[in-house]
Amino acid sequence: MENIFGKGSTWLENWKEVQENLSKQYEAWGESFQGKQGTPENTESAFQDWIKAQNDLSKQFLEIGQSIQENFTQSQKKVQEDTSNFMGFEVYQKIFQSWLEALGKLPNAGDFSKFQTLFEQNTNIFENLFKENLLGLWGKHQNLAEEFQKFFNMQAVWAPNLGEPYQKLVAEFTKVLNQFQLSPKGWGNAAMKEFFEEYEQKFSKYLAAQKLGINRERDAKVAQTIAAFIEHCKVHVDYMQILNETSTEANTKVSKKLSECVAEGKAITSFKELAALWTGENEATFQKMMRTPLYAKIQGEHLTTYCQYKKLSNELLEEALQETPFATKCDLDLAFKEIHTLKTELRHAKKERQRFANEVTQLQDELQSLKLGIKELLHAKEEQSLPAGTTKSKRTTRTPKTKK
Amino acid sequence: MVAFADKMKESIEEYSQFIENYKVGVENLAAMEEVALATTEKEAVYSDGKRTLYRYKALKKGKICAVPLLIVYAMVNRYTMMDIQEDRSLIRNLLNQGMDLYIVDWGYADRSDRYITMEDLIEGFLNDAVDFICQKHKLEKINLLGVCQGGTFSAIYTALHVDKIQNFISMVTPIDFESDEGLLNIWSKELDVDAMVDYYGNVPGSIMNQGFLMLQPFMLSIQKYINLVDSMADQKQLENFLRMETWIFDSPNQPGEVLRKFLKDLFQENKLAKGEFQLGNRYVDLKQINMPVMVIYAEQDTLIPPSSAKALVDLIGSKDIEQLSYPVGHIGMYVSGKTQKTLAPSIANWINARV
Repeated sequence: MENIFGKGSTWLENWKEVQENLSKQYEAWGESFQGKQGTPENTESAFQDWIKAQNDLSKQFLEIGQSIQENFTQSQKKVQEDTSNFMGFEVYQKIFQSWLEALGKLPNAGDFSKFQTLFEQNTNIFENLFKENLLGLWGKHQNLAEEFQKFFNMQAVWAPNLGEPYQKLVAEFTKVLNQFQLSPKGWGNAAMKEFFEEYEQKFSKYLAAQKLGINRERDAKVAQTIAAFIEHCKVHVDYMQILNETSTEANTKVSKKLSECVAEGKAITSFKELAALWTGENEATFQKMMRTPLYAKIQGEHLTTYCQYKKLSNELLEEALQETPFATKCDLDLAFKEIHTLKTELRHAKKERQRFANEVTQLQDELQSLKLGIKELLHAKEEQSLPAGTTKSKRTTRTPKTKK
Repeated sequence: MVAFADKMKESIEEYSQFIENYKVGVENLAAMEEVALATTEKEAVYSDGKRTLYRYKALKKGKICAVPLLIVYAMVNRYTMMDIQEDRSLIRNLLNQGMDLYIVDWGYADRSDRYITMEDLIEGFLNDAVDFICQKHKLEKINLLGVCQGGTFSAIYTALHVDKIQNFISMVTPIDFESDEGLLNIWSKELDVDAMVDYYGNVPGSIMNQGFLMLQPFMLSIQKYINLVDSMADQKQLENFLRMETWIFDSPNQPGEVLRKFLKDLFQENKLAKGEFQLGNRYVDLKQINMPVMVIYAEQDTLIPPSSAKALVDLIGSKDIEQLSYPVGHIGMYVSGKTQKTLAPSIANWINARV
């Protein structure tokens, strides 16, 4: 990879030198023009030199801008070759690149009065980058594109059951939906929400209607699944919308801060400072939004509608698998539930057994104590009944002789 | 203009260095082996299915506390955070203070754990673990330290088995879930837990990870890695980072029925703090907790707000209560430099004065 940064550093040294020379030249030209009438030949040649120098400078600015762009692209590619994007901060590289290009495009780098307009022109770069990369963190839209495919496949199977008019409606909606860009920006589009609401309105009667025929249960389940999918899509639009709006708000704050820094003569030129600014503003703006009841509601509904749709979708799949020799998740769950119940009963039984064992041991101990107590009592009584001075007789047990 | 040119030059040089560090770091990452967490020596002494009770090997020669300390960590992450590296290990620090340590490892739930309940874990495994330790040491009571969700489980257990716990320590433990300070508290109110558990069964660890990342999405998903680049050339710093990274994303699947009860009864209905929580057919009354209690919380905890952890103080019947706090976040309690020197001695001294 060409070390453009080394080249860039040298270029800046040259640029400094050229600017200093030009300034001196301009000063000298001004003095000679001020005090004297000036000679047309000298003035004209100095002016032409100056224009040429400025043209050279503009050309150098353009070249360095292109070089910066190439270098970023090359470094990104190199990084990607090495790491396959595992770090995920290439968004910052793009922002930084755009930022340096914006600064580099200034006709006169010291002329900050023109900066605001130029910066505003470049904010589109930031907007697109921020949105696309930001919402990539919440990558559901990609999975949703796959789900859409499944959804249309499902519809294709089911639609013939309800006849031609319905099929025409499906075709019409499919055409409209295909026009939407299934990107985060597309998903947050208000028109997308209207599409789903209209879809729901037109199709709800078909979805909710009683089904006929031998497959009526399956058809009812398919209809339920489609309705659940549409519900999730509607909530997804709301979700993307709130994220889009917050992203725009945060981006505006970043742009404003950058402008303010430039206006104060403290333009941010450090990559790390720019990254920290972008992170800080986005984090603060999103944190504020995420604390709102509205966001909590939308997020909760997003997860709920997703789970409801996927559960129904899985049930359809499991039903289809009933014809096959494969055990499904539900089959396994039933088995595990039974095992858990048995294990719980076994544990209780063990505890009960242990309790009984303890009780038995206790009773045995008590019985033994009683026996000893009785023995001692009898022995004591016996001793009491003997006359004083009489020695205790040995108790013997006589075994009766058995008759032959 | 000259000043601006200097600035541009600095900028390009800084970025150039950044890319160089990144490249070196990538090479270091490629050459590294898997990092090891929780290396303090321990032995499995009891197990039930995937759940294991470990006993740590003593590090200190000489007098060891006569009453063992059982640590119960959360299920939502791994207990390895408490022993993440040698110089950042609450486990080692406690062992060096002469504590006789046991720890519960909840293991990695799979589909067969789909129907285990909180009762199975607390009245089942945890109770069996306590009984095991009591029998082994011929004691009637042990010391118990509960961390985060593990602290909630421990508080519930202690309330139901006061005769088995000598001293109880809760660390960054949520007790009162009513707070609106934490994002999790706010978000959980709108969660249809039944829909989630009915679909997922065991809720995947990846979903839990996403939820935690969402608490600070930009910082945790992007800025953290930019900050890393400057230290990627340093092998040791990179290893330290990777240990934390390994732990963060080592989230076990959550048994569905345990999570259902935890979210519904605690996060959403706050039953424990209200005295309405039932485990099995028994009500849990925190007022039954009458032994010495230490409540430890992190002042900058965004996960478990301090108010949620401190609520235990007013809900228990103990007369001997000590509170201890640090100006750190949730994870900082275990890994921050501010706690390394003083947290373990504080715990050990408190226990030793009460055995």
